[in-house]
Amino acid sequence: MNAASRKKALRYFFEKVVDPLGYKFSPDTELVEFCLEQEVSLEKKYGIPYCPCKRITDSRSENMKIVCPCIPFHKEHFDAMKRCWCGLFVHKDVTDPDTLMQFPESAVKKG
Amino acid sequence: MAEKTVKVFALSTCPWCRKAKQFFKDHNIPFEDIEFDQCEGQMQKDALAEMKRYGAGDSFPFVLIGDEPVEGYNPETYCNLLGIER
Repeated sequence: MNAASRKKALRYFFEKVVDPLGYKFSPDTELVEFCLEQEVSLEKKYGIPYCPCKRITDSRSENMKIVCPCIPFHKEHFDAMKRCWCGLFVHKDVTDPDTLMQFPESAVKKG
Repeated sequence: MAEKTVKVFALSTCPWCRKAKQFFKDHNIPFEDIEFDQCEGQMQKDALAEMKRYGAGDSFPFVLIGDEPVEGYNPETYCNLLGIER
């Protein structure tokens, strides 16, 4: 399967996974295209479409938490930001993703 | 007053890392660019050790402004720490 076809397949699959979680693809189509391209290349390299903005570690169990869409593993953090870390997905009610900021998980835990 | 040094730990696959670097370029702020996934062996271990020393998780971009760590792309915080206008 070529990269364009794989990107299309990931998009189809991801949409079905994130919808019941209350998320959708970001309206920032340029960002979505870029992230999906990076995930296709990560999948080609590692066999798994990891988040393009997270460090791949030596721990398989830790790495499983960054397989896209990784929302279930970081729900509290992502819900607080209304987006996932890389911004590929946003809460369904988000219309302007530029207003959403990245902040570390520790900031959520502090309250 | 000496200017604060800026270090950007980035991944080549991360769009927000690109935005962070572009932010510093746009503001003519020199920065050390550490493309973590392109580093190999000891260089990568050293970069990770430095990030961890400043409390980094596994998320990128990770920016050090002086001794202040910033996890994520956050122009407002960058400006505040550098004392510049956005």
